[in-house]
Formats: sequence, structure tokens, C-alpha cells
Amino acid sequence: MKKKPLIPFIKLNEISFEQLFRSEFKGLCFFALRYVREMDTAKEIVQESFISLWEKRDSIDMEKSVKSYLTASIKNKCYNYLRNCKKFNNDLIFDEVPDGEFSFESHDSLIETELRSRISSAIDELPVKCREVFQLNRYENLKYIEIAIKLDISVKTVETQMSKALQHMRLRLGDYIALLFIIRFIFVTA
Amino acid sequence: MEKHKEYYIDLITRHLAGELNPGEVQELADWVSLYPDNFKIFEVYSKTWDTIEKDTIEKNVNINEEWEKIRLRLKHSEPAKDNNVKIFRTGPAKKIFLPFLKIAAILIIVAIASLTIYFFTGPGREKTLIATGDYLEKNLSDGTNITMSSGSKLVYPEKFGRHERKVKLSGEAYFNVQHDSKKPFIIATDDVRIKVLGTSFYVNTKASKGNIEVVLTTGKLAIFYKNKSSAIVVLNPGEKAIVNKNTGIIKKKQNDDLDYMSWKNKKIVFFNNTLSDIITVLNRVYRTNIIIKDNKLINCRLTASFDNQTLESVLNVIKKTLEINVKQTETCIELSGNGCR
Repeated sequence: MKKKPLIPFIKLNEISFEQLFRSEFKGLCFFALRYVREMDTAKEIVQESFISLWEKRDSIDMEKSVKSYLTASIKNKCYNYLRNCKKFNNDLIFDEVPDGEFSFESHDSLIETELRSRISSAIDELPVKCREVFQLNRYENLKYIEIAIKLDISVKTVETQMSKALQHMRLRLGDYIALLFIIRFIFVTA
Repeated sequence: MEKHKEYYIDLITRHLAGELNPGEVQELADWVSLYPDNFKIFEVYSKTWDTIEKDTIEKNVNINEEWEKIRLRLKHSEPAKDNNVKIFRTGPAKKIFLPFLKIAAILIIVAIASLTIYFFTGPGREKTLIATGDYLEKNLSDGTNITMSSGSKLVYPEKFGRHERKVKLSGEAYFNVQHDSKKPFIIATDDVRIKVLGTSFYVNTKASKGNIEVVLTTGKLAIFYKNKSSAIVVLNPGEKAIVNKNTGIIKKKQNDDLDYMSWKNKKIVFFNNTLSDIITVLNRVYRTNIIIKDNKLINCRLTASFDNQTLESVLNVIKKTLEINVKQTETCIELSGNGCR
């Protein structure tokens, strides 16, 4: 039988808050990126959600998962952002990710290292122009039009190069991603 | 069929990069739900993208920096919060909160003072504006009005500094600068500077052959290189300057391109021009891709003038006058026919 605790379940203090922040921040950025698709915006939204968690730490029922409070808060903020920017909400149509199912844990640093080296070698294999476009978009967070201006090429060319890059990455990472999913499946069911 | 698939992979990539417009999102959603195979393709690409995205996060997010950021933000909001609470408190609690209140008060005064100094002297935060759609009009904090053509980029401060008003431009724009003799308005592109007090003029930093072109409508304007402001070229209304970035030479001549503002006001005049000339102009003004499919049409001639018409109505006039066919395809507009009258 469950007893109702006399004192609040876990009180979020400075130390546990920092731990939570450090362990969840990146994963939550990944979650926010599904909605806003811009790194800086995603980081800002996750920051704000942590701030509101801290401010409401006394009124939130900590028995419920802190993580579900954060994801709900991030989702709301993302929707607000998209609405305010009059951006069309992609995820009204592509809502394929249930809240709890985003995972960012790196169980195994060996797999992680292997994956990283695979990604960077796959990127290295891209033709020069294609690689440049891809890196500007993925690692320097430039929009297509910004890349077009920067490299003095048409937006259409950026589009073509990006999809070429992604097709290449899929071919190079495809098997490995499938393997990752199998490994995770084994971990979950074991 | 294969090309068709390529097209959707393009859409998927753009969806993942957040580059789709509402119509295209719908189009992609329809395609994805059409066959299970389509969904599989979509899923495989999404997973690939996610995997790369995680890698991006690992590379781009510095957790220590982020923690420092939030720590500072919380630190700043906390004393203020206690201060608010304090107002409603009476009795013994007062003593406990008094030191807190003092610190908060000092912090607030310092913050307000530094913000005031900052706002009255230094320039504000820089903002970047990229024009999409047809063109974009922007009013700056000093009352200057700028019209930018699609794809052009402007970097400007939220608030201008004390001595000058400086912006950076890449692309094509028309400036109507608010007069302020104490604060010159300066446009920077690479090492070239355009300095004015209050005038209206056109700038294109991406003119043909890598040149920068400036056409002055009213007032006076000076162009020079950042590091040699002695070699200055002054423009008078109706004059045009061509800056060659490679040789560093600034040439000045009477402006003969009357269509230089057509991207903004869509005023176009054709006087017995050939169809191939006409579509070159239309492609530039409307930023579209019109092509002539039948070579017989190339030398058809047309005399007409348009004032701020839509592309559709312009094409309609051409279609009826020359008796040709206009067909919109996925990537372009095709003109076809068996010669013309």
C-alpha cells in the first residue's frame, strides 16, 4: 500500500536542480528542435522551461515526473513561438513522437563514439560544395536562404545539395541506425 | 517516376530543416499517407536526420555555458522576487529581509543606471533581416525607410549609436534616409562605404560581374573604400556609380537603366522588344522562371506598358496579344506556340 508522504516527495533544491539541468538539457533541446527546427530558439525555450520549473518548484507536485512537466512546458512554449512567428505548425500533421519517447541517453559511450566517427566520415565523403552547404545548415544553423546568400548560389541549389547530403547520410548510416534501434529494443525488453 | 521520388526526398529534407511552407507541408503529408512505402521512406530519412541532429547538439551545446546562463538569469530574478514579497510583509520578517532588500535595491539601481547609459550612448543589439516574398519594406528607428528585394540581407542595430547610423547590406535595396546632419547614415558592404546625410537612392551589392551599383534619386551621396577615404566619389541625382570590388575602381556615369526600380514598383515599359528580352525582364522583376519552349517565338515583338500588375495579368496580356500558350509547370512557366502575328 502506498502511503502519502508527510513531507513533500522530493524538494527541488539548488543541487538537484543543477543535476537535472545538466542531465536533461541536451535531450530537451532535441525534443524542442522537433517543433521549432532552430537551435538557438530551442535552447532558449528549454532555458525558459527550466526557469519556470524553478520558480514553481514549491507548487509543482514532484511525485509526477519533473520531466513530464518540462516536456509539456516546452511543447507549449514551442507552439506559442510557432504561432507568434506565424510559422506553420509542421507537427500538427507530423506528430509522430509521443512525449515520453524522445531519448537522448547515451547508454554506451562505445556506441556513441562509433556513431560519431561514422557521421563525421560520412560527411567527409560528401562532395565539397555539398558538404559546405550541409555543414552550414546543420552545424552553423543557417537557413537555406542565408546559405544561398553566403555562398552566392540559388536557394534551389541549396535544396538540391541538402537532399543529396541527406540521401548520402542515410545510405552510410542506415544499417547502423537500424542496429541502434535493435540494441535499444533489447535493452528495453531485457 | 524516379525523378518524382527525388522531388519528395527534397520535400522531406526541407521539412526536416524547417524550410517548408504550409502548402508544401500539406503536399508532403498527403504523399506520406498515400502508401505505406512512402511512410517508410519518410521515417528512414527522419531517423537519419535525428541521428545527425543529436550529433549537432553534442557539438553545439556547451552544457557549462548553458548552466552559467540559467544560473545568472535565476540570480537576477530571485532578489527582485523577494522584494515584491517584502512589500506585503510586516513584523519580524522585516529584519530578515532587510539586507536582502538593500542588495536588491543596489542591484536594481546599478542595472537601471547601466541600461540607461547603454541606451543613450551605445548602439543597440544587432538585428538581421532577410527579405522573403516579393520585397520587404522596413522602417528603422531613425525614420529611415528601406525596401529590400527578395533574398537581400540587412544587418542593423535596434538603436543607432551617438555618432553615426550604420547598417550592413548584402543584395538589392532602395533607401529613403531620414535627414540628420549630425549623424551620417553609412551603408557597409565588404570594404565599400556609402555615406549620406538624408537622401534616397538604390543600392545593389550583387550587380553583374561582382560589381556594386548605386543610383542616386535625390540629395547627395559619397562612396569610398573603408581604408582609403581620400579617394571619394560624390554622386548627384540621376547619376550612377559602379564599384568594381576586384580593381577597387569606382566609376561614375549618368544612369541609363530606367528599370532599376522595377522590382519595387513593377513599372515596366516594352517598346517593340523581342519576347526573349521581355522574359529576361519579367524573370528579373517577378523573380520567376519563364522559358520559351518554341524557338519560333523568340523574335516576336511587343509594345506594352505595365504599372504594378501581377505576373498573371502581364502574362495574360502577352498571351492574348501574341496568341501564344502559357503553361505553368512544377519548376517554370512555359511559353509555346507556332510563331505569332
